[in-house]
Amino acid sequence: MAAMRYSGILCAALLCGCVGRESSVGSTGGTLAIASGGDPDALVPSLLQTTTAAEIVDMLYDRLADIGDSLNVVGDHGFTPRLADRWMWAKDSMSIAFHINPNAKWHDGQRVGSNDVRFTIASTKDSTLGSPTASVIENIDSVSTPDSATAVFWFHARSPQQFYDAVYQNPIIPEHVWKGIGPAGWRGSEAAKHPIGSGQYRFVRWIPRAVVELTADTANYRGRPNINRLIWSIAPDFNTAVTRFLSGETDFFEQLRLENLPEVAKHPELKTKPYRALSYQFLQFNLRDPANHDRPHPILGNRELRRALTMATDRIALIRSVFDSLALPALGPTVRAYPTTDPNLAQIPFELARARQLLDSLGWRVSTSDSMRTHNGRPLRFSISVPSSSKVRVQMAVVLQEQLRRAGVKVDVEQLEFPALIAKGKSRAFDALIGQLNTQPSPSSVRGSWGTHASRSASGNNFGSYESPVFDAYVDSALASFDMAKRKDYFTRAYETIIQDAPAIWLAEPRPTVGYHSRLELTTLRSDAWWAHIPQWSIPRDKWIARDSLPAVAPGAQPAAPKTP
Amino acid sequence: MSGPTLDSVVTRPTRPRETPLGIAVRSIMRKRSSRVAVVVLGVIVLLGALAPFIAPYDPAAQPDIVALKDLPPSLAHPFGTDPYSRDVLSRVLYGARLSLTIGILATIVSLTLGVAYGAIAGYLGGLVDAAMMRVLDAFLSIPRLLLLLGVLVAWPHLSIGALVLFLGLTGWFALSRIVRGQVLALKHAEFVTAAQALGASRRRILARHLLPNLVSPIAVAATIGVAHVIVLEAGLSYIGIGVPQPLASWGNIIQDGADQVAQLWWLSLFPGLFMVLTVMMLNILGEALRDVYERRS
Amino acid sequence: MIRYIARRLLQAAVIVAIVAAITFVLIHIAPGDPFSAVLDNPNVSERVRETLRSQYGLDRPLPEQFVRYVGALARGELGWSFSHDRPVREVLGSALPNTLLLMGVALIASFALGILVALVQVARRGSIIDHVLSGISLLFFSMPDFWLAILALLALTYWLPIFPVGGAVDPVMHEYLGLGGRIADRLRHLALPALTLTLLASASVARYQRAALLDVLPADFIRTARLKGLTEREILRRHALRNALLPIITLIGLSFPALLTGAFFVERIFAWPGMGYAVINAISTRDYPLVVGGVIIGSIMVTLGSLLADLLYVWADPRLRSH
Repeated sequence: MAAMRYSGILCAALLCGCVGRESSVGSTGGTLAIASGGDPDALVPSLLQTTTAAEIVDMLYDRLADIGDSLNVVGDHGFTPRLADRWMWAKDSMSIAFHINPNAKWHDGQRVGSNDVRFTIASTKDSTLGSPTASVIENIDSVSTPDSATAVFWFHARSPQQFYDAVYQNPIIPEHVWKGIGPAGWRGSEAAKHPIGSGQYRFVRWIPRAVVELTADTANYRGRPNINRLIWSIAPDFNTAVTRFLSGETDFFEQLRLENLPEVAKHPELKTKPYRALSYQFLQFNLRDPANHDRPHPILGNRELRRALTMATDRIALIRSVFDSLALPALGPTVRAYPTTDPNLAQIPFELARARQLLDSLGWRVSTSDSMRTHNGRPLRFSISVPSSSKVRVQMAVVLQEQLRRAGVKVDVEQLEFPALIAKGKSRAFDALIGQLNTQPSPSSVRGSWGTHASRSASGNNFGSYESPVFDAYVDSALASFDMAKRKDYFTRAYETIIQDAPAIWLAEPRPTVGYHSRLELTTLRSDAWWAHIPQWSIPRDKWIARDSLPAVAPGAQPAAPKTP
Repeated sequence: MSGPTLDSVVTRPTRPRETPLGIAVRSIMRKRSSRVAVVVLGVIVLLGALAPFIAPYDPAAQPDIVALKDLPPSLAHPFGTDPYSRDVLSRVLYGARLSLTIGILATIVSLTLGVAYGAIAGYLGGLVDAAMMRVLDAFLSIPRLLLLLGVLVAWPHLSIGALVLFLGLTGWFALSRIVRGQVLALKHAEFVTAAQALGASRRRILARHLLPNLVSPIAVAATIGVAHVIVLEAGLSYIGIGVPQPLASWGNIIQDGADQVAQLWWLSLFPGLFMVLTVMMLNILGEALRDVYERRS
Repeated sequence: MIRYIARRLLQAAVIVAIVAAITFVLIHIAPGDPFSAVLDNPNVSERVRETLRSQYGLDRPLPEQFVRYVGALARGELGWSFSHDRPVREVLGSALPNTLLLMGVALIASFALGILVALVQVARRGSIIDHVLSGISLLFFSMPDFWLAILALLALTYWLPIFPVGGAVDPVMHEYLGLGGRIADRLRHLALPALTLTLLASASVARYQRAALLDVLPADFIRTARLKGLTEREILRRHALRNALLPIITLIGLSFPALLTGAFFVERIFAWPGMGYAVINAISTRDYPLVVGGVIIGSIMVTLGSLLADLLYVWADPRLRSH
């Protein structure tokens, strides 16, 4: 359910060519209830790490422009205006000037200005905030504001993704709400608990671990969304979330597993829809000693040993067992959807005998008493940490535990709640963990997860501290190329380097299926964010059920009042 | 010396060479429910003890995680397989072994602590006794599960031994109060002073008078204690903080099937049945023992 | 009487103080710093760290830390829950009423049901019904709490979708219902967890009461009543029950720990937002202060429960009144 979200804040994209056009005609109103297996962690665009938070943030906040459904990241082709109604490139392409839509307003009534854009970028880059986005927008030097309606982005270098970097990673937040709060206090602040944005939905309430509710911003500068209310019904675990969907308490569930499909089929009012997502799951090794980060991990710091561990795991069987047909084996730190990913990347093969030999040659001998390996008195033993909320990852961990046991490796499985897992990752206090990255439309996100800079910075997401100048160089060269063939070539070399270095065992690329109530009229499910077009979903009036007829706001409840410091 | 000795004056008239335990056992065996309970428990204990020999498969082995996962009960797998293609029957048998072992060992720890604490408190008496009893009251006021949770959140990576220890450390309170009561009663009993005046050693007094009276409450505490620990361990394993993978305990077998309780019903049913059966039999025995004890006093 | 109350209150206070000491010891004998998860966590703000440091005096000598700790407890401060980003007092304060509601309903219902079953069993002692009911109450008595909850959840929200799937209120509709609707919504959500907890608790009540009634029946005054010509039922009602009632009060006090434990598991499985739910979730987030806070509150509840039971007993039993 909750997935790590690195350097990416996605917001709803309206696939309309110009600003202010009405959403689909006719059916406005209704309530969409989404079953979620996890609480959002923080409703702050530059801090969030969970998918649930990303979904909600994308309804509350706007970006300057939004990416098209084809997810083209080169140049500005396909991007549609949002907070910015037009933009201009400088002749030398070292800056882009965005003009803010004069009708854009924050939910508290104040106008959106270029100062908000400057503040958003500056605060994200502020190291005291610890935003994971910081490492991904490195190319942006700063934002200047020649006037209140114009924000100029200045870049360090030209790159094919300049526009994407400026726009995609940065939903704009209101300066007047956040500027008085010290960055260290953003996460727990009142402003974070009652967010104010400019998006087509307003915040109503968030009862932790229970419900998040948004209501339609009927006076929005881009027009009102169709559905009146959005509710995230947060269940304590996967099973309860599925049951809430199947019982009709909610209308939407984003990650059906194979075993749920026959159940859904029994309910004629429910439908399913597969979509391509941009995520991959992996077993990440900590290359540094958790007790002393300056030293390599006593066991996992050794490249050959990690390769041996990879050789000992049968990933094909693992995925077939855990996902059946709903996932493909992960190729590396990438997804097949990128045009720059070669689907035939060379992998470390599954060869248990060779793995055993390799471990023997490294000095890890099998002790006769319990068939586990030891070396100089140290047992070959480490722990895998997984989020207890993701049954899939727990299952993979238990399978890996057994597969590695056959090679003489003792693995302990530790289940934690998701925020505790992230905290462990950030403080590098783990041996191995199973993570999931929801990548963005651009393969550049790999720098934020596996690059040296992300390893060194406290807010970076390279929890395993993999640092390879070779890998960095290939990725940078790829990103600097304007030639598609060269990009692909550089990326291939980068991926091959990291695959052979084995800082992780690349597990699965899931192909998720959503379940939804048949009365919902969905639109395209965008690969990077299935929720992107929610404002355009609708519920025809003749199919309304009880919860659709409720008014937009509960009697007596107010949408969040602005709590400016 | 002819005539009734001091010893025989104070203990109940018994048949010669009949120990209190023997009496208790005999009166329990008179009831049919107790006989059934003993037989059933004996079978389960035997199954658990012999698990390494009679289990058809290795409980941790995942022979074929693609083709053999989630199979309903069949001839090859009478209790079905779990999501990791592990044979559930083997896991339930090993689960009996582990859950019962944890239960028995933890209860031994509890009993030892309980007797020691109660005896010391009763023997020392006075202020020390009062203080010890207040501490005991405090521990009794914390529900056992809560105390365990408090401990387990501090030690997230517990070995089985540590788990047994903590389970044992949290279950001795009620018994120690009973023991203390017995010791106090003994201290003030007239025959003890008389016996001491006659030269009987303290050890003889302990052996002849204290221990026989303790046998019954200890036996009751033991059976009920094992039952409690089995249920508690299952609950902790179900939440995920008890027995770790890939070890099998009745609680974590249920947890493996927890998100598909309907589809994988065999994962909840069989370990649950075994658990309920074991606990029921223990409760029957414990109650029978308690009846004997209460009737005697 | 007053002296008795005062004495019992003092005893209760001493017990709570000792519990505080126990939790203090727990905090400090754990390996590493139990707050390291908080202090090293980059997401935790400086403000929170300062609060924790001053509250717990982490760099002071142990005795001083203990004094600060007890002082904080006396003020009602239970620390900071970093998984909820709120004071523990607030988290548990908003969760506790839900637990009390659940336990209260289950307490009343389980005693009613348990006594009823016991009466039926005693009235027909030795018959098939007696044996069957004995077997059933033994079954429920021996059943693990979470197992029954899983089965109940499965059976009554899924196979027969009568009840809603967990939670205290309907997340979507609750705010929009009128007063009657909201009460009905809450009742619907309360029903299944309360039913589960009731079944678990009533088993022990039934067993105990049956034994207590059977013990009382041979007593002299009952024989007298029989000789006077009262029917069996009247005897049961007028004499046996009243005499067996006193132990009920004690039983209520004694049943608190088990009821609380059962409530924990039931809350977890039904996502009932009570103290048990919060504490069990806190385990997997390693939110130490919240768990310890739960221990303290739990033990206070049990102490108060038994205190109340004792006081009720003294008040109800005429034989003890003349102290």
